[in-house]
Amino acid sequence: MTSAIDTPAGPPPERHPVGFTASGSEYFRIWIVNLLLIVVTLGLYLPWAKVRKLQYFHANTWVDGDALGFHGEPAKMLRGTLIAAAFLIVYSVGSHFSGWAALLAALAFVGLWPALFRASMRFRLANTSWRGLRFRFTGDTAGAYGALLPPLALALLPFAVAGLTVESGEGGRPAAPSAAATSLIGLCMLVFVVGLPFFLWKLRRYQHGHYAYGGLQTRLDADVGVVYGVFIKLIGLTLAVMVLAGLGVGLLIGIGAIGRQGSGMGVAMVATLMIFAIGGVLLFNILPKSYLQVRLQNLLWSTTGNEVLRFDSRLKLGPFLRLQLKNYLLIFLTLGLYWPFAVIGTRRAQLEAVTLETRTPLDELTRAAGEEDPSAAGDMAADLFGLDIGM
Amino acid sequence: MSPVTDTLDARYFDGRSSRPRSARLHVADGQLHIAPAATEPATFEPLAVPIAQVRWPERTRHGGRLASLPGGASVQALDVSGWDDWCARTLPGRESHVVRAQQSWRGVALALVLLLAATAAVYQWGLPWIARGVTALVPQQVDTLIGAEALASLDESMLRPSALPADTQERIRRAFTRMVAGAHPEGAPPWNLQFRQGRDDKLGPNALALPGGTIVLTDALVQLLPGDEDAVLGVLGHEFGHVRLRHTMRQLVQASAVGFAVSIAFGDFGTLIGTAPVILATLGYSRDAEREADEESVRLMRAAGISPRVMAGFFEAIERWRGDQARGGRNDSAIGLAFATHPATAERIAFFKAAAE
Repeated sequence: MTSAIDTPAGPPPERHPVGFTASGSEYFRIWIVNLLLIVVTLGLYLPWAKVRKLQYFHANTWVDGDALGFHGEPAKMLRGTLIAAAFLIVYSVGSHFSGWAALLAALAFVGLWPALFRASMRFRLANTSWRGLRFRFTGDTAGAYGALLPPLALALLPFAVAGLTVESGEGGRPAAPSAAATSLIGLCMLVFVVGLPFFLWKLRRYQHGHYAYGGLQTRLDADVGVVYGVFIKLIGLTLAVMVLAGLGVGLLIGIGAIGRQGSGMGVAMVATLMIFAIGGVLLFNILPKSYLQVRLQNLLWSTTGNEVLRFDSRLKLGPFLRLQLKNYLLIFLTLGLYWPFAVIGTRRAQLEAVTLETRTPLDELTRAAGEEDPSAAGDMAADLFGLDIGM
Repeated sequence: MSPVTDTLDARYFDGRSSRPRSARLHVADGQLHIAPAATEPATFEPLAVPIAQVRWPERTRHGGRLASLPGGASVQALDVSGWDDWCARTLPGRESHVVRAQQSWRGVALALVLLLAATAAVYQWGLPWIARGVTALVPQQVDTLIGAEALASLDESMLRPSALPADTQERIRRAFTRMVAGAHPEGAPPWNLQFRQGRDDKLGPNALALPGGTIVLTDALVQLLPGDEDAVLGVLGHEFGHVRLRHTMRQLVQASAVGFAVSIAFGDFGTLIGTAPVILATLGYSRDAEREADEESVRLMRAAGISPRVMAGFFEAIERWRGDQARGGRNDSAIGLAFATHPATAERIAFFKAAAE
């Protein structure tokens, strides 16, 4: 099903595995010092902290003996941070106000988000270098709106509109949402859920189809059907695990009933509850999230490239799932202090699963004409909104 | 090139091509000089860049070193530890305190201690202060709107009209009006008192303050201590405290701010791990708000000449009621919630008794 990038006949490609040399303990030290500076400056240090983090991550990401570089300038990013923070405050407070304010906030959000997303991609790539050349993001604004507007509108606007109909209930006494509003929300949710893999595929095609390095631009050759396949398998997997978990719970209750005569009921209860809690988290959070991350990374990156350059991603689900289990457990046990180790471990697994295959000498790429320096405003904005540009 | 010059072999990229050039670096006259390595035929023109215009990489234990030059060119280390030694020799004193702190465990331990202290200070003083400021900026009509919506939805789900005689309602309302006017002769924020009863027994003796000044009082609370309306006024004083200090609005602002801070600290692994600190912080702020409302209650009772001691009797009655409920095997989820957000009853009894001294 996966349609690979067309490869011309010829000598086999050169393979360059991606390496990641960052260490959890060093990132822990960077993280603590950054956090302190963010807290004492009441957030103004955010861009500096972010640049330091990205520089550390980039300087430790090696492809063919060369590390990536990050060149963003914090002072320029500060303006974006302030704009984004103001926007975020207006949005989050505004949506609690009245129906009209919430609708306005939602409209502004939906209307601006795609532009912010594109600005963020452009900034991030234009400030990332490898072997002395900057990357570029060549996606246009129309593409960003085409990819992001439908899912955003489906997810946010129905609630805002429904809130408005509640607001305008008779005599100033709010009424329950009308049947029409409820069915509108229901319909939009249904379209959103059924369309989710399609929206995701469109977004990723927009992203992976517009990465450029030197004169080379990538494209994404994955079919939307394959993305649907991943989601359908995820549903099947979740159902299967739920059946197994149900059997396990039944077994535990059975054992509990036998053990009831004996003492130590309290301990047994606590242990059972613990198993339920951990099992629940595993089942409904870690397993589906890891499954999606692994399958989508492999699918999307293995089908990204062009005639002379392509990626191959072989992230394995089992080890990745074990890693995430360990991460969540240790973050929980250390009250969050393990977080930087978890981030580095996850990043290492994701990056080191990727290989770059090239059919062109890496020394002979040159900068494309007309490179520009996109504004930094978008990047911090996207960051504050928790946008993951999925790199 | 004289042999005494401290040079470093590195790779030079001109920013236009991906081809690395062997280069030799040295620092002189406040400039970084980049020249083709002596062993090769010259592959690029030697250049010099003022030290201040070079973006030097920070020293880390892992990772490569890349110095960016103006115009997109860059210099990259061939040997990282050699690069660091060379920088320390030729550019002494350039390393920032931040880099030195994050490269030593002692510095990091100190930063961690300071971070905890700063976080505690922001939590204790900074955030409430900011939340008060932001709340002051929000127009009062917003509170009124939210309050009206909240009352309407409560009326639909949990509440029904009061069964108290009209004259009892009127008596309490008048007494409370006098009480507020006595404590705030300069004028008080608007409030309105609504009598309701719960649709089932779960709500029990209860009072709620909604944003915008609506105070809901249940019949069961009025009947809890028959003939003792002073305690009812004390409870109303507490709810009035929430109204006057706009606690709901403040907590909204505080909860968003905490959520925001957590998402910055723990960028990934968000949803699951991020919620716990937000919930804990919100519970902590709720307890602070209850204490503030208790203080307001004492002020109002004093102004009305009521001894705060009546509240001790009220809490004991509430405890008895809870005990009865528990013995009756009734669902106590609502009570569990009240326990989490209110300071321990014993603590509150002690507070009101001390206020009566």
